[in-house]
Amino acid sequence: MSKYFFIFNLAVIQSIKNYKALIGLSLFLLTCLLVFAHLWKIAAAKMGAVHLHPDQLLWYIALNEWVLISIPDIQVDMEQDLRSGKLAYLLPRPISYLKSIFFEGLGMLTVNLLVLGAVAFLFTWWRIGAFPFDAPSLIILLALGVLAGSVGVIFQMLVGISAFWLQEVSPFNWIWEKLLFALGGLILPLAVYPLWIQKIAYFTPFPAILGQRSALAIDFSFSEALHVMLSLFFWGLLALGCLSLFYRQGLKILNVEGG
Amino acid sequence: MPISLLSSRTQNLKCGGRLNLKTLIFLACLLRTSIRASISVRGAFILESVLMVGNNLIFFSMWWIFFRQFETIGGWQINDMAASMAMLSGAYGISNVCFGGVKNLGLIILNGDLDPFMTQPKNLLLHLAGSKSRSKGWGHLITAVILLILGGFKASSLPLVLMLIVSGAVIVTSLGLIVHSLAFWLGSIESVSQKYLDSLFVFALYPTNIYSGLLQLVMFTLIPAGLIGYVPVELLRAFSWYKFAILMSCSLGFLGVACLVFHLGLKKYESGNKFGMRL
Repeated sequence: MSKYFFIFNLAVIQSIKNYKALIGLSLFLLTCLLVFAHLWKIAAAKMGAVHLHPDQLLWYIALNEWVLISIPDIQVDMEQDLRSGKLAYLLPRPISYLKSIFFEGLGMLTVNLLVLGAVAFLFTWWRIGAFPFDAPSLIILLALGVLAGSVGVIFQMLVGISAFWLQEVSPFNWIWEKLLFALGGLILPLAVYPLWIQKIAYFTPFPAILGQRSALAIDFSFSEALHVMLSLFFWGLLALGCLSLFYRQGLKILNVEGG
Repeated sequence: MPISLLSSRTQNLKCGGRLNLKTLIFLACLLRTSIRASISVRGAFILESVLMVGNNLIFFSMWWIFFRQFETIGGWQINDMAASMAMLSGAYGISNVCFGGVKNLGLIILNGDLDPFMTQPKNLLLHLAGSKSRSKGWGHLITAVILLILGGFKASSLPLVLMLIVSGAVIVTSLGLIVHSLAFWLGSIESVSQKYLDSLFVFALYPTNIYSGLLQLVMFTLIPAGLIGYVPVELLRAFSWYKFAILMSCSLGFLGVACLVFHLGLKKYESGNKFGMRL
C-alpha cells in the first residue's frame, strides 16, 4: 500500500508545483460563482417558482461547483497511455496500473479540493455575509465532498478505459459531464425538475455526486447525509467493479493486438 | 535541426501577414485534406458527431427545465436561448471543422513540436490551425441546424445568421489561439486552457444583460461570451447596423490580438530538437 501512498504524495507535490493551473482553476470557479450569483439575483424576483432563497441557492451551487471543478481530467492521461502504447511499459511494473492511476487522481483531487474549497467557501461567505453551517454539518459536508470527488475520479477512469475500444474518449466524457450537469442538478435543485426527470435522476449516480449532496446546505439532516453517503459508496463500488471488468476485457484486446 | 536555421526562420515567419491568393489556395487544400482525414475513420467520425449532438441537446434540456420555472430571464425566453445555442454551436462547429489544430497548439509548443511546421515555406499560423479538423465540429453544426428549426428561425434571416456564426467562429478560434499561445510563457496550463474555452460555451448562454459593472466588461473582453451569444441573438431580435459593425470590428480585433500574441510567443519558442516530418 505504501507504494500507492507514494504515488498519491507525488501527485500532491506535482499539483502544488503546478500552482499556475490552480490559480487558473480558482479564477474559473470564481467566475462561475459570480455568474450564478447574478443569475439568481435576476431570478429572485420570480422565486415563487422555486421556494428557495437566492442565498441558499448560491451555497448549493458553490458546493456543486467546488466538487465538479476539482475532479481531475484523469481520463485524458489514460487515453494517452492506451493510445501511445505507453501502457505496455507500465504493465510490467510491480504495481497495478488502475490503482496507480486512481491514487494519482486522488492526489490531484485532494489539492484541488483544498484550494478550490477555500476559494468557494470564502467567496460565498463574503458574498452572502452568513455562514449557515455548524461544525458537525460542515465536517459532514466536507467529508461528503471528498467522497463525491473520489467517486467522480472512478467514473472519469471508467470514461478513460473506453480508450481500449475507441480512438478518443472525449465524446463519452462530454456526455458524462452534461448528464452530471443536467441530472445532477448543477444550477437548480432536482426538486424543481419535472417529476419524471427526478425519477430517472435518482436511478443514476449524478444526484449523489452533485445535487443531493449539495442540497444538504439548504436543509441539513443526518439521515439525508447518511443516505447520500450510502449512495456514493454504492455507486463507487459499482463503478469500481465495472472498471475492473472492462480493464480485464481491454487487456485481452491489448494482448491479441499487441498494444 | 540546426538552431541557427530555426532562429532565422523564426524571424522571417509569416504569422498573420497578408492573405494573398496563394495562401488562400494553400488554406483550401489544407482544409480539404484535414476534413478528409477526419472523415476517413468513419466509425469514430459518426460516433463523435452523434454524441456531440446528444451532448448539446442534453445541455439544452437543462435550460428548458430552467425556463420552465422562470419563463423569462433578462428579457430572454426559451426561443432566444435556442437561437443563442444555435449561434454558439455553429461558431464552435466551424472553428472545430476548419481550425481544429488550434486546440493542439499548447501541447505542440510544450513538446517543441513546432519545428516541422516552421521549416515549411507556408503561413505558420494557418498551417497550424488548419492542420486538424475535428469530427465533433460536425455535431455542433448539426445541433445548430436542429436548434434554429426548434427556435422558429425564419429562412429570410439566413444570410445574417451565417454572418453571425462566422463572426462567432473567428472569435472562438482567436480566443483558442490566445489561450493556447500562453503556453509559450506559462508552460503546462493545458487543462486550464481547455476548461476556459469550454466554459466560454457555457457562459455565452447566459443573457449578458443580467450582469452589471465589471462583470459585464469581463463578459465582453476577457471572456467574450457576450459577443458570441448575447449580441448575435439581440441582432436577430432587432437588427441594427451599429451593433453589427461593432460586432464585426470586435471579431477582427480579437483575430488581430491572437496573431500578435502568437507572434510574440513565437520569439520565446525553444526547439524540441526532435526529428520529425510533416508532409
